[in-house]
Amino acid sequence: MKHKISIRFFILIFLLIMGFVQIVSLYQFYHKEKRIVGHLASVSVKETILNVYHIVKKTFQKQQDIKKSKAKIDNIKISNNFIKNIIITDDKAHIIYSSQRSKTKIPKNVCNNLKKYDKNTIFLYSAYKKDIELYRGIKRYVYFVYVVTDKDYINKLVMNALYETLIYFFIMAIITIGLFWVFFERDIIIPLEKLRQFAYYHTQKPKEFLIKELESIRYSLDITFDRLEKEQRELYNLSTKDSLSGLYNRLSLFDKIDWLISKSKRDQQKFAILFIDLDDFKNINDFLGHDIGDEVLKIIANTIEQSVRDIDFVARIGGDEFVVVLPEYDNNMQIVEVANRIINNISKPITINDKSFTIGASIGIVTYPKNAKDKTELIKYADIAMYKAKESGKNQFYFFTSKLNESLHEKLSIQQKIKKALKNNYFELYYQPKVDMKSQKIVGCEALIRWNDPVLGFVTPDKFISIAEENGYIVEIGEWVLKEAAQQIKKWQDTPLKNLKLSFNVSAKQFQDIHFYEKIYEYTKDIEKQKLDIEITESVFLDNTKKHIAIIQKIKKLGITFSLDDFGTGYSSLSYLRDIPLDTIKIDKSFLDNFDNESGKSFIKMIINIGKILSMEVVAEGVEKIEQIEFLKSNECDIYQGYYFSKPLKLQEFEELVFRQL
Amino acid sequence: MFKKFFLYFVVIFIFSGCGGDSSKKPLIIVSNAWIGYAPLFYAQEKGYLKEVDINVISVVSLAEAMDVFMVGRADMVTTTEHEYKKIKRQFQDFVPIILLDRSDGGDMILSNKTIRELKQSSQIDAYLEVDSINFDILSEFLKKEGISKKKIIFHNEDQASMQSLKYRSIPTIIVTYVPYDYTFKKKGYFEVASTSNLKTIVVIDALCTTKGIVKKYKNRLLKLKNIIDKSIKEITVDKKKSYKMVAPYLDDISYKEYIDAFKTLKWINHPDDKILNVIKKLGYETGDMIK
Repeated sequence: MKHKISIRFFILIFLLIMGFVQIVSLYQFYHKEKRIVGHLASVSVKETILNVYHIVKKTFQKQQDIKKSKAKIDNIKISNNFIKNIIITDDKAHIIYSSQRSKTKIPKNVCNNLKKYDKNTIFLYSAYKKDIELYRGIKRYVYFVYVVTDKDYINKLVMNALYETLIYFFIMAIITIGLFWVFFERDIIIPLEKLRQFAYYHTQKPKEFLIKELESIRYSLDITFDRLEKEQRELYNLSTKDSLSGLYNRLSLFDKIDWLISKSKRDQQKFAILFIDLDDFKNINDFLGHDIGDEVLKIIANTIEQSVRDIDFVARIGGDEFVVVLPEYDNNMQIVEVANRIINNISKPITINDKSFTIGASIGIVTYPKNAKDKTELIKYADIAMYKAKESGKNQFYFFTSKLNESLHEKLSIQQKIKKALKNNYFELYYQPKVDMKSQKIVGCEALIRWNDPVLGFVTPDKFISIAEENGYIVEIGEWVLKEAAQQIKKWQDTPLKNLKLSFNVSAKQFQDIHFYEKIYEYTKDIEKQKLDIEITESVFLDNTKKHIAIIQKIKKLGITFSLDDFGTGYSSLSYLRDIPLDTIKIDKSFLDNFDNESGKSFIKMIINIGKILSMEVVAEGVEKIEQIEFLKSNECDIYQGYYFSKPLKLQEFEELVFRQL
Repeated sequence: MFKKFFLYFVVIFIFSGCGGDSSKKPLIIVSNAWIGYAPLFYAQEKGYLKEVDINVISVVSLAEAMDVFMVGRADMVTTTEHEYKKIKRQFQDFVPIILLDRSDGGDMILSNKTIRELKQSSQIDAYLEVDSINFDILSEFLKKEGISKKKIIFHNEDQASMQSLKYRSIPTIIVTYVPYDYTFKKKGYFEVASTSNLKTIVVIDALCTTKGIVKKYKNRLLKLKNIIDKSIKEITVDKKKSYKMVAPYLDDISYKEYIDAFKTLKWINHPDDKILNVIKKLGYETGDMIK
């Protein structure tokens, strides 16, 4: 239905129609009243004419006789309100009597024919005339009687009747309309408006209504809204709350942040977001089970809530990720206080099922509008800051800074470019010679990846390897290195370089690649596998040690040897050396850097001895001085590599170097 | 708020509906042809009375006027002491409101015989309005001249119908007043007594009404008094002008008769204490009188 009208308008139209009907009725009434008055007046005037006619006819002998009848005619006139005047004239139009004593004129617009004179014509003529014939002897005298109607009176009678009816009609109509309107307004319009508001806002429940139907609607709405409210509350909790912790969820958090951003635009109030991630929570789930993990999360959620102010907002947005929004703060110290309080409270020992343990939390802090402009950025930057806190040693907080952001962007940029570099083959292997300590001949080399980007230029490994490890590109890069190394071994097979042993580095991430062994097998199936050496670090054994050892043993069966790179710098454990079938250990350059002091020398000696005891070949890295070589030689180190002999070289340079030695 | 307004509205409606706005009702004065009422006729013709929505109707005699008032066809009536007392008997709240004139010869007894001849006559025909001041005047005359009522044959006729009475040779008395006297005088009748020489009778002409009318139309009556005062003043100043207006009400008397007629009365529209005492003695109630 396109055209809608309000009830008020409908009633107004109804009243207007009623009013129109009343006006028509009034008009009819007016005419009826006019006919009645006209009838009475015409009858009365006719009687008057006849009476005067009779008096004149019976008493007149001569004109002077009028005086005898004057009182009678006066009386006729006085007793009749319809008559204004009675005039008698002679045949020469001389007035011989006028009930109005003042100077009188013979009226015009006179009706001569009484038969025509009726209820309608009385309003047309001003007077009615009748001639009276008298005879004195045989002489004929004619007199005329004029009865002048009191038109003012007659009209007044009609108009008074109409006026009074009109007044009563209007007053009654107004009273009726007024009463009707009051009733209508009070018992229909207002209740309907209340019902509308109630239906729309659900805020003010109307009181009981007089009208049964409206009351029924009100009651039904009330019941329905109660039920809806209950369901809505449940749905709201489901949609806005985290079912485990009872805290707000991610959706609510985003709503809250949106709201705060809008508010901040109006009142310039800044706010802060604390992104909380529990440190090593995975261990709890892994070692104590998810049930305990969930209990811990509940306790932590409660702890965080207890650590913040009433106005602050706490949400759980992931497994062990919480976000606290501080809607108002004056300075960073207030944020620091809250962050410290959260860290300290979370750090307190937790006891579940008689087991006590502690847990830490890292917090990334971001502020609006200083750090970001929308909720996505805010959460992202808080997350970055949180990771920075973790990187910085965990159980601490870190404020997001633009520098942090820049490094992140750089990291992201490098991530994208690694992909491109792989596709366009911007990587290249450099070869650093490994020199036999005794013969001072090149016995092998370490293939080191280099990135020669047409845009970035020469990118050193320390700038992209860690990033590649973070995003998993290291698997592809490692595969590329494996492939290149294997091909190089094959190329050297029938050359004077055929005895060189080629080492290349494999990341711990590559061991997580379920196809790692197959790839090794595939790429090395056509080469002498003894010429290939895989350099790994102790990080390979941090996770899934047994699995990784099994892979190493499987690869070793192919004939490929393993070197432990950067020995002594990480989580070095002698158990690794015992359990892992390694062939070579490489002394990290940092030990060589401390060659100048006795302590440094002792460590180098100790590593060499370990290698000797375990029948492993020992390779020293980062050798830059002759003194280092002499020391290593005197301590029976087998092989060295470093800038003293040669930096990592391009293939051709490396091959030329080797050829020169031959 | 609305409820209060509505309540007021209903109350106003009830009261206004019941009462009606009768202050707008036209008032009617019934009078008769008498020179003392000329101010009323003059005011009517001048249109002064329209200002207060009052209309004057004229009848042929005091008795007619009294009847018209008593049947309720008029709101006010001009009376002498006789009509006043008669109406008062029926309407207890009937009061004089405006004094007009005191007859000083205007009411008279005409005859075709001298007083001496009348005294000697064994039978006298007397024409008068019996139920009027005419009777009081005649009684006073008979008493004064020592003429017995027993030899009087009373003929009760109104002044207008008496006009057709011819001159007679048999002893006849006509009790009349200005302007009706002129017709009789022209026929040969002459004045034997009048209110100018019958000092024992006082004829006061006053406009009377009921107390209800006084209460209801106080303001209009005050204005009426002013109009009457103004009319008397104007009549007195310019008799010629007033004559043309007033003559039709006075049986079309001549100008001379009109001028003479004023000599037969004294205006008492501003009554002094003496007059007030007189009318009090006559039994008039003066409390509502507009002086």
